[in-house]
Amino acid sequence: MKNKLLIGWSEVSITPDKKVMLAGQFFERVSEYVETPISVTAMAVESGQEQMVICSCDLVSIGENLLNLVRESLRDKVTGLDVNKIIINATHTHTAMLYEIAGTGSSCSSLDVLKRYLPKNNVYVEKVVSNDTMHPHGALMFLVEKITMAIKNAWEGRKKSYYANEFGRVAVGMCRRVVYDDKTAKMWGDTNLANFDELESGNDSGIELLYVFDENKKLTGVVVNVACPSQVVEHRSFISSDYWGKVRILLRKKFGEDLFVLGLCSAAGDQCPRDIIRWVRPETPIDDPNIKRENYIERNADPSMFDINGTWKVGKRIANEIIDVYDEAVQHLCYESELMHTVTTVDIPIRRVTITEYNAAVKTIEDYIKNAGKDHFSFTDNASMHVYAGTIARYEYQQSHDICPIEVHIVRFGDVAFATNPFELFLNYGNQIRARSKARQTFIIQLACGSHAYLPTKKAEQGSHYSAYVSSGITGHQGGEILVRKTVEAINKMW
Amino acid sequence: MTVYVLPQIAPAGDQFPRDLIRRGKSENNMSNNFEGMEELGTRVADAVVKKYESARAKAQSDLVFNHSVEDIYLPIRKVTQGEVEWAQKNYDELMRNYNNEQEIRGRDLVKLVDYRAIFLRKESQEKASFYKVELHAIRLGEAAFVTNPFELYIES
Repeated sequence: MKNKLLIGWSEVSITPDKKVMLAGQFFERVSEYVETPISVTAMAVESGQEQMVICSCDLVSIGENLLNLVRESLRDKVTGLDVNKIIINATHTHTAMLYEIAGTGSSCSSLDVLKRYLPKNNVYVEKVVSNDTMHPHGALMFLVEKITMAIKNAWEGRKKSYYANEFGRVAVGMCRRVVYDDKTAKMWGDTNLANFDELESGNDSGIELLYVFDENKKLTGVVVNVACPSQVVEHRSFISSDYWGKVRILLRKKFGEDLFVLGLCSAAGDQCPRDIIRWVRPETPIDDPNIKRENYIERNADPSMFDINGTWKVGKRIANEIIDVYDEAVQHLCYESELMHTVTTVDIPIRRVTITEYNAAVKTIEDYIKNAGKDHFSFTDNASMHVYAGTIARYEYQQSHDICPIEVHIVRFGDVAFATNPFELFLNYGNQIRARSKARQTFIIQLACGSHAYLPTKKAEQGSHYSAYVSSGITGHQGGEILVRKTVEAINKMW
Repeated sequence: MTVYVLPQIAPAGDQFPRDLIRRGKSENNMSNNFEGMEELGTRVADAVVKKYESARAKAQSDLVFNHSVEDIYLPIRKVTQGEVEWAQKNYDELMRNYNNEQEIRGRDLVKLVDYRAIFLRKESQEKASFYKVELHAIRLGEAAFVTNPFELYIES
């Protein structure tokens, strides 16, 4: 049943006023300055008795603890809002703060495991311990306050609105996993090799768009679903909203400073903003062996997608398409919409470790510590042993757990479906959901309402490497098949 | 002034202009109508126009130019005796419905072409194991052009 539509928007800065430890990557980074502000943007929707809030955050991921604390905090601050209908998702920027993160799916972190294997006279040294750096617990509480504020403001600012859903096409995300002729795979693999066979998956240049207008038919905000994480400057040591920040700047130049942009990352666990075929190296060196190239060739292609110029390039591409499609959107505005929202828990089987894999992981860590020739260990050692420590953590977890419950939201908003998942979901799962969905457009929101890392395909598991290891995510392709089936069923029940 | 456009297709044997994921749900204008051609033409023209100023600023006439033409010999993909027998059996069944091949249309024509291709391959592979392909490689400053006579799959 169609009802009049009430929509509210809010954006709150989460730019810290002190240094922070930056989340993501396998080396320790502390923010040196603010390249672009980071923020959280909330859109609250109400139609009839149904409601939905989506809050997109310039963060690497959304821990269940953050989600629960925000919901708890909102319970006595707002009236009429069902806090279970709140969706909080991450754009996956790697240039935002590290915060204390917790949730189901693991008994302990890889660092906890590594520390256990250190002999008594050995110590683990945190590099970043200074009073002018925000502590992860402080960062968590800071985020709870800001996200709560954004959602409260959006909910309380609901007004009669119009909307139009549209479709655009922009090349942003590209596959980042390279397959060689022996069928092994590698994230960031070198393609300038005779044994390079193929990229493991395709990419998706389609972007789903939803424009929102006020009563006077002035554009108030736009929802943008792109199959690419926001991680152009993922190695850098500054605060940045990556390409989404540039999209906001460029769209506000066109539509006004009060425009809201809700950036949503579609299924893109195996995607990145870089062209692995026409590889363009960083403008300034990055100390990461995975992106070093032995026989580098200068390419006339994109600007470096490791640097600020790259964020502007991607930002311009997306903003230009949104501006271009706007003229079509204004021609068919809707002011009432069917809104249906289900929140379900899906039990996903955890991906298990064999006893052989467990024993090999234990031996690798023991040998590493024995041969390290030192008694002080650091973040770098944790990064080196991350895969093995993660394998041990999973082995221990599976002794008492077979499944991991995940929160999934399915929303019907007129012709449009929104479907969430808490993974870095590989593209092909998103393709399967979108192709089988009865909705005219399906917005897939990954890294939402929980953080369970990568969900690789069967092909990726066979090719292995980072993002497809057991330790790279709580579940594997069997979980992916369940997620797709349950999501498609739930969407199609609404049509 | 006339501006000439020299279109070239990069490896795209397995590519086409339609979105098989969103088929009929979003971009539904790519099925043999003017709207789809206009949409694609606009995208390509926009990209060319967008880069025009940058190209003009670095236009040059003094550059390295090399052109090599080579014949290379590729192995013929062979059909097995089983495939030939399968094609013959199906061909005979198909022709029971027709007086001659010229009458055949539609899906049956696709089948006929497939069977005929298998018969022809059988004949050609008995005469030679390789066939000749003309290959051009051109260096034009910092750019390379390479040709092939195939509908080459994108991964190649």
